[in-house]
Amino acid sequence: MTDPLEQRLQQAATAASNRASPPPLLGLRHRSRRRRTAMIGAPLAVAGAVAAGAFGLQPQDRDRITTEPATGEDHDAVVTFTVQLTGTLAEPGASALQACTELPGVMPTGPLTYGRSGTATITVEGSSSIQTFDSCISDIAGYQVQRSDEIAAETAAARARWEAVGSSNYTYRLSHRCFCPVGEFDVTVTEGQAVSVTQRSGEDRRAPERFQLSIDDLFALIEQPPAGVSSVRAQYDARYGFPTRIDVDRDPQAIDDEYTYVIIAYQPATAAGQQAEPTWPPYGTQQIRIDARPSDPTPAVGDEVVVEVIVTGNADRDPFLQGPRVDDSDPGWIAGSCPAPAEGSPPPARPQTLRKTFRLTFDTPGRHEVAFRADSSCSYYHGDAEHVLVLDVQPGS
Amino acid sequence: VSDARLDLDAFYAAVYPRLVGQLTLLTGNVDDAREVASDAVVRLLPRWDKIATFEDPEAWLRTVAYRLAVSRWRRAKVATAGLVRLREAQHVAGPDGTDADLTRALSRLPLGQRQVLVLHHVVGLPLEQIAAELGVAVGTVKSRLGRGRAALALTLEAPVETTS
Repeated sequence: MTDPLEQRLQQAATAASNRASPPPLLGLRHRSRRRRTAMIGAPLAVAGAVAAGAFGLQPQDRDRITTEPATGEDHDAVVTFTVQLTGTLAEPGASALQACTELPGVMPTGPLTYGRSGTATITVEGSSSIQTFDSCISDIAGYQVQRSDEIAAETAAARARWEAVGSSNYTYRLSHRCFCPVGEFDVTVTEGQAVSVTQRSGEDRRAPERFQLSIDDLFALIEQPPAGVSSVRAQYDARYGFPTRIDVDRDPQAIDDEYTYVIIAYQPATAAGQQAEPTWPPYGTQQIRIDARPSDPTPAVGDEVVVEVIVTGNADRDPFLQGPRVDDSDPGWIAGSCPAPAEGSPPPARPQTLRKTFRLTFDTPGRHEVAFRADSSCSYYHGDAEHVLVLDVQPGS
Repeated sequence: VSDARLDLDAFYAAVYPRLVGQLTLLTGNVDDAREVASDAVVRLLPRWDKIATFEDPEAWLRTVAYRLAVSRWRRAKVATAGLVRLREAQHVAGPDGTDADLTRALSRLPLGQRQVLVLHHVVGLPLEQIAAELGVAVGTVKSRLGRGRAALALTLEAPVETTS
């Protein structure tokens, strides 16, 4: 005998099924690929933090970035946004723009600028995602942008500062960050030539000689990017002029091909000509603390765990946050901002907080360790910290 | 290794609409259902080689999707006022054959009861299998099903009238 309630439930489900044509699998594959780094990222909380001014920004040059929802069909709840960016978006605006593109339901379908001058076409699916993205991108509009001629002038000024104040004999510590095995290297430079490189830490097992680069070599990379590199962005030390951070992107349409050099220590040679342990930045150290709060310390397999991570320190800049790492070959996700330092004396240290929400799921039951690492590599006050969150994942079905 | 390895495109085309149908009853609207189903497929893709060898890959996808729906529902409960407003704004039955009374009646049930109703009456799973999928006792499934059916029947047959 037919159960009328069952019949009605089945009819309702079938009616909804008949209206649910699957979205292109290609789009979901793209989201799946992004998820590897942004499984992790993406959350509403990041946009919220940006919107709330957690990065300490003052909106400037509002007229240089415009956004326009271009096409949309309400019944499908899909809207294509065209984001027009004139000039290069400075940090943390670039990171904030990227965070918007990593929100759930957001699928970049054209060339992504990630803060570089150009036009990005971004398709957003789902009405709540559309409103969230719209709000997120509206908050980005107005962040400071940098024009290419200003970038050239800044590089020239930094090089002049380096040539005036820098030394020909020095040691510096280079941190190589990428979606690949990473590491930190001490490079010794004598008479302007990089003469030795030693790996200090990291999983990178390849020959460290690749990083036998002088500061002048790094300037050459910025000023005349090698073939195959589409974009180089750099920030400079206010005192010595050397680049403190260089972001290199090979293919603007590819993800995870970017790599970054960060100089985390610099020491001129002593008068006796001996290379000293690098101690830059010389203005002090800072204690960084990481606090990770999971929504559920004992989730079941397949459950989404929301982890709120709060990094606090006492410095002149936001700290960087890296995590979580799935295994040794996974560099995890990096957040933080590294604005160009101000001229003159080092800025005073003050409390800094970086908040980020990670969303994690686990495929297997048992004890899982998720590592978060924070550092202040672009601050005058150096410090780092690591926090390992232990989750006891319960068996699912 | 299974010799009857599933083709991902065929699996996706067959399972996605079915999943959206079930999730619509669970979440209360088709937009949420599609987003949750897509999120579940996003989780499936990097694991497909392994899941394709499972006896019932659809059960894996369904379990993940239901959990995502539950997470989403929990988040919505504690979300900011703005998000709550968004969610309520989506709660609109369309002029396209949606059983608005049923959707409304389902939305008043606890999520656990909704899950069991969908798994039993729409997916057609026996009580033991539902208990296994949800990780609860068979008695719990029976009790949720009984209460859910009773509440649904009551609401659908005698709609609550509002008085000023």
